[in-house]
Amino acid sequence: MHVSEGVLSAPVLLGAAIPAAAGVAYGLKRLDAERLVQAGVMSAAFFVASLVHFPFGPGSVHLLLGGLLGAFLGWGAFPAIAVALLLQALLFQFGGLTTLGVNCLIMALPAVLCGTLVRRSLQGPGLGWRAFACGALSVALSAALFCLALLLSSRAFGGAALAVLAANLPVMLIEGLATAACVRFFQRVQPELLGAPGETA
Amino acid sequence: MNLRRWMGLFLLCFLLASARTGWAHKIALFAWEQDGRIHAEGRFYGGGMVREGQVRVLAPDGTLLLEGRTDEQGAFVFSPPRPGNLKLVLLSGDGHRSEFDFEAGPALPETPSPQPAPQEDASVPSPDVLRVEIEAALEKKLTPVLKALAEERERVRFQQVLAGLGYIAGLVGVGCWLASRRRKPQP
Repeated sequence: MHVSEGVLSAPVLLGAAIPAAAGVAYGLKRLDAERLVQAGVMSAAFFVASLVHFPFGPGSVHLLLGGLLGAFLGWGAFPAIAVALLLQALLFQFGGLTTLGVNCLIMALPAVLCGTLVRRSLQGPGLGWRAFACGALSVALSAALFCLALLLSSRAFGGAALAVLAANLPVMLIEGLATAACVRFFQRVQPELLGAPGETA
Repeated sequence: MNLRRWMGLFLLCFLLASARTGWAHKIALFAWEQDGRIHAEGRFYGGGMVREGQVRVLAPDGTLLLEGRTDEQGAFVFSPPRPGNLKLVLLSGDGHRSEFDFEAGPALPETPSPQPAPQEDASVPSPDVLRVEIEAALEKKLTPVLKALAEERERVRFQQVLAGLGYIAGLVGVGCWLASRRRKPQP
């Protein structure tokens, strides 16, 4: 899911970097001190998750955990993902420095949007299903944004974009299950972790 | 917030990282010369070969010399379009890209022979012939080693994962310190 350097056109890179930077800034503003450690742990989980990959078709797919970060951190997912992506680019050469903005937007925006599915309400019998949808949809949205970025750069990527979408179907299932399990567990054990920052203060 | 529980989660991340530090999801390109042709090979980490990947052969200054696609085995074999160093670029089509700088060996025929007087003894091959043969033999022996080295260089190591987790822990520390400074003026 990481776009490599030198693949996308400059307008796409720049056009994605600006909203990504705004998202990180807003996320930092919304992240209060009590949630810093949590954000760090989620960032570490995201950082490591990309190493867990499954061979699929011609390539391989890896975990994202975007939905999980969005469910726990809300807008705080933006800085958490940005830090993890920066370290992945520097240490593993996943993605790259010039593609940091576009990669951040691809992974963090769906995380925040889908996270609201869980954060909207922590009660009700539908929480598990909403958490599943949060995990699965964030992967689907990320894959769609990824394809959009490729297509905006060059029409030649059309076939590949479809392949990326198909390859991420099993990831959607896995992430949905993982997110549902995590959310259900923490809702039972420590529900304040899932609450919006304002609610706990 | 139970700090001990968070430390436990951090530990979990470390364990997860140690369990699986294999190939990462990106592509790698490696090329070597054999029998006067250049063999390029692209592979996905954690998966198979890059099939139908676009290979571009560029001059060091960036001009496109040759273009082609990898076969079912992820290989692309071509005759060097011109002597000298080349830059190879592999695009897998799904947003992944890898480069390889191919360094051509010394141009053998152009090197002036230091001894202009040739030895008349027919049983001893001339220095030029010897050098070509040694080069060929070395190339054969070294190719797998170079391939392994190139793969090793791209490998994600446990230390790098630890470094990343350490950075994140450090950033959280800096954030907490800043937050505590902000809170201090209030009694």
